[in-house]
Amino acid sequence: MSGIDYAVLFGTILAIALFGWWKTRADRDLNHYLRGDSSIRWGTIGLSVMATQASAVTFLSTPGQAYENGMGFLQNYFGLPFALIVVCVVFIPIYHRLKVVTAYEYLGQRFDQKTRLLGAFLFLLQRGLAAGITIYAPAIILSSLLGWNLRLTIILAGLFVVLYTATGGTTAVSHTQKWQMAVILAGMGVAFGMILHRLPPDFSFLQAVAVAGKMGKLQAVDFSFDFQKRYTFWSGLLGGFFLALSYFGTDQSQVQRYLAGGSLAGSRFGLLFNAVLKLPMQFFILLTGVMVFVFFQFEKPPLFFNAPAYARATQTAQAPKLAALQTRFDAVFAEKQTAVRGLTSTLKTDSAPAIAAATNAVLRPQKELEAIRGEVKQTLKRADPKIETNDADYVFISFVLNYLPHGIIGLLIAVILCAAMSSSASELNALGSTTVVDFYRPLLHPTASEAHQLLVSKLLTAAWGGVAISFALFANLVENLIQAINILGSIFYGSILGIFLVAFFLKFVRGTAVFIAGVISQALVLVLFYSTEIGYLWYNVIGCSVVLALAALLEKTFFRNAASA
Amino acid sequence: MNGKTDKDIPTDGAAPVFGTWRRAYLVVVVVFVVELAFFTFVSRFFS
Repeated sequence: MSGIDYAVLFGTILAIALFGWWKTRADRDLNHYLRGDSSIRWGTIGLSVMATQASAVTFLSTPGQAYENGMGFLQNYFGLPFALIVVCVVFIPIYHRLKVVTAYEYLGQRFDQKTRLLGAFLFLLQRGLAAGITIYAPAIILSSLLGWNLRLTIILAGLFVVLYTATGGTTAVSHTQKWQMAVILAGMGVAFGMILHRLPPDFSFLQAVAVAGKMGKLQAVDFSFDFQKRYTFWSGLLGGFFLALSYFGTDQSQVQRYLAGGSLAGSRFGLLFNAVLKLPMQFFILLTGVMVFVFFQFEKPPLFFNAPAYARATQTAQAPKLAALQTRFDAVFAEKQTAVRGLTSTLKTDSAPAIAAATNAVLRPQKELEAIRGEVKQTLKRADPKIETNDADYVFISFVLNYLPHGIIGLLIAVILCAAMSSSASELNALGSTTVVDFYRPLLHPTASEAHQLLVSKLLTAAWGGVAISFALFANLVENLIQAINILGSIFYGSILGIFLVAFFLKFVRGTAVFIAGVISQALVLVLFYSTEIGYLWYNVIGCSVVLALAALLEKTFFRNAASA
Repeated sequence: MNGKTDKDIPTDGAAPVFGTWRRAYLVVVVVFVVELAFFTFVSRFFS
């Protein structure tokens, strides 16, 4: 990183943070702080929803995912447009009609206070932990590659977010996210253009796409019913639907985004904007990763993308083994490079047998290279048992740091930090609001004045920022960050979604039955998590189904007499 | 307050631009089908 990179980086994130603070500096309205003001239109809501979902992990991991496994990950989002339609049809009109600030207020109105507190408590638990990981994930990667101090990176990134989130609330979060998303989209567009620019001069974009396709990286849709495969059309449509319904319908960090502005049409258009654009955006990010893969067909990639970890391993007794693997890797890569040039020429001939032969000539060394990388990872593990051998998160950022010009590097680090800050801001905003609206106001100080509530809201938002920063400082206990975020969400989302679906669709069920069902469901999911090897995405389905079935059963059996009494 | 009243909130039958919300949702589904067709084309054509 050069001076110009630091200027672009700090200029961008400071300007956005100060804009958020300046925009809301004179705002003393509690409703604005919690719900946003009427100047927030559907476009801002749409970008704000998108920015909340797109964390730094999205931009660090997704291109690496495509580099390693192709574009199949896209299918995870196939259920999202349908889930957003359900949120628009069922959830939003009710939230607007009841004029709720948090989603859990609705549970209080539909059921009772204890069910509201259960929903809010589960949210605070899950989001409180996730907020720490949201800050920690980019900090650990950037500090490792750039040599920054990890603790200082965490504290600085966290304090920037706390500054404008605690002072400006929902309005500040929505307005800053609009600009953060603009930086993110512009940065990713520039990165994509730069990758194409770095390809060989005689190699067109269509040729790059054709080579990637022949090497199996463009398989975006798989209609097979194979349950062993992680990503298929069907798992994405069904599993993705439940995950997105739970996230957008009941997670306050999203609910607060689309309720900002106060207009039902604005909320709906903001979500429909995401329903239409989320898939193309993910496709584009994955395609960026695929183009990085094509770039590394002509430029020799590192043996392991987490360079500092690899360098440490070369200082151990495993150094000779790693050197031998590097020699083998270099030889096979040279062979593959020739084969890729051959495939590129053959693709112009339109001769199917020749193209098939040329493709096989590329795939054979490619498999050998993957096998060598597998051996490297095992060797690294022997050198340091604590090392994280999944280096997919380092692929894109390594490419940026080593192959893009100064200035653009600063912009793309700003993209990653903007993504981290936009997600964290939504989380802190939602955590602070939920604590005030669902716990402090009803339980501790029902008669508090607006000014008092506003002050407490700001203090609690800052306090949650402190919790998130503290958790991030000690988060090195967590082995795999992305998995940790997904597991955390899946453990709690199922039960929360189940409680909301009972509220919407099982009108005969009342508070006590759904509360007990929710507690049992959450306990069951936690037992399954600690005692079985079930894939974590299934916790969403199990938690939700148990709440729905058990709440109905309890209401029809144990609480039937109470209903008629 | 944010200045909005119930009168400002469109009912289920009136969606700006699309006329009705049902039509807006239909557009989202149609766009999804078009996107899916494009992704399937990319998967199959370049394999």
